[in-house]
Amino acid sequence: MIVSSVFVDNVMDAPLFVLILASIFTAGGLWWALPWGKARRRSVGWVLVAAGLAMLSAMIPSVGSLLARSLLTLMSIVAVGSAVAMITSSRPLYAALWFGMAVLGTAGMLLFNGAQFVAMAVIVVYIGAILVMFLFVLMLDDPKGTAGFNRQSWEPLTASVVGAVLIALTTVTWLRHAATANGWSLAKETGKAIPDVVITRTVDLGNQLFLHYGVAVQALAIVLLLGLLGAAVIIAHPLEPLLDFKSRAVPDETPTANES
Amino acid sequence: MENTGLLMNYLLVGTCLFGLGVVGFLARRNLIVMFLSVELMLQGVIVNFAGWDRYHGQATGQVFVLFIVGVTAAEAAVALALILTLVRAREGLDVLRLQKVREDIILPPVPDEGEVREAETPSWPRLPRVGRRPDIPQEVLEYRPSV
Repeated sequence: MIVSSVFVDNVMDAPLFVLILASIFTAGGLWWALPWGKARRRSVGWVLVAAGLAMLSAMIPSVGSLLARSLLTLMSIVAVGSAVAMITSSRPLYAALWFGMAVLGTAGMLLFNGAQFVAMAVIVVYIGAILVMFLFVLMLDDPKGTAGFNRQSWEPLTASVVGAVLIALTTVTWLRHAATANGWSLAKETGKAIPDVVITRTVDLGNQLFLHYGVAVQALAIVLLLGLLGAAVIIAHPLEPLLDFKSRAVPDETPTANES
Repeated sequence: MENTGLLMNYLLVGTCLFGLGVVGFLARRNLIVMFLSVELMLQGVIVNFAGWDRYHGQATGQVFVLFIVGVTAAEAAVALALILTLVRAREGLDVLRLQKVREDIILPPVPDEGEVREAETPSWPRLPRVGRRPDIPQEVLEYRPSV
C-alpha cells in the first residue's frame, strides 16, 4: 500500500522510479535464478539480476555517465557496422534489413541527444514507410541475390578507395579545425554544463519549428504534395519496353529517320 | 572539453555513414541498394546535425533533421515511381540495363523556314520481313562491351 502510494505520487520522479524498478528486477531475477528443484531456463533470472544491478549502479552519477557514454558508443558501433554490412551484403533483401538496423542506430544516437520526437519520426518514416515500400519492390527481381548484378560490383577497389579517402579527408578537416585555438568558439563551453543525458527538448523543437520556421514548414508540405503528384504522373505514363527480353521480339514499327 | 568529445563522436559517425553511402552508391549495381545508399548518406547528415544541435544547446538542428526526413519521404515516392516504371520497361533492377534510357532513334531537327534543304535522303523501298527469326542467345543480347 505504501509502495503504491509512493509510486503514484512520484511517477515523474525518475530516481525513485528507477530505484523501485531496479529492486523489483533484482528480486525477481534472484527468485527465478535460485534452484527450485525443477529443471527450467534459469538464464532469464541472471539477465534480470544484471539489468537490475545496472539500473542501480546507473544512479551513481559517475557510473551513470559512464553507462550513458558506453550506450552511445554501442549505438555508434551499431550504426556504422550495419552500414558496412548493408553495402557489402550481396543479397538485396538483407541489405535492406541492414539499412533498417543502421537507421535504428542513428535513431538511438538522436534519442541520446534528447530528440525523442525526431528519433521517432526517423524510425517511422525510414523503416515504417520507405523500407517497407522498397522491400516490396525488391521482390520484383532477384531477392535472393543470385544474379550477376548482385554478385559483382562495379570497380570495388576504386569505390572503396574513394570512400576511404573521403572519410579520411573530412575527418582530418574537422579535427584540424577543432585543434585551432578558437576552433569551435561558438559553443557555450563556459556556460552551464550540459548533462550527459539530455532528458527532452521537444518543446524547444516545437517552438523553433512553428515560430521561426513556419514558412519553411509550409514549403516542405508543398514539396511533399508535389512529390506525390509527380509519382502519380510518372506511374500513369509507363515507358515502352525497348526490347522484350522474354519473347525476344522487337517491338514493331518505331518511327525511323528514313521515314520522316 | 567533454562536449567537444561528444561532438567528435557524432561527427565521426556521420562522416563514416556518409563515406560508406558513397561507396555503396558507386559500387553496387542494384537500383534499390543504390537508393538505400543515398539514404545512408542522408543518415550521416542527420547524425551531423544532431551532434551540432546538442553542442550549441539549441533545437535548430532538430528542425533541419525534420526537414531532411520530409524531403526524403518525397524523394522516396518519386524514386519508387521511377524505379517501378523502369523495371516494367527493362525487366529487372540491374542498373546496367538503364545505360541507354534515351530513345534509340532521334528524329532529325526540323529545318528553319527559308533554310535551303540540301540533298534529301532518297526514300528507299521497305522490304518485307522474310525467313526465320534468328535465335539470339541471351549472352549476346546482354553483352555490353563497355563493362
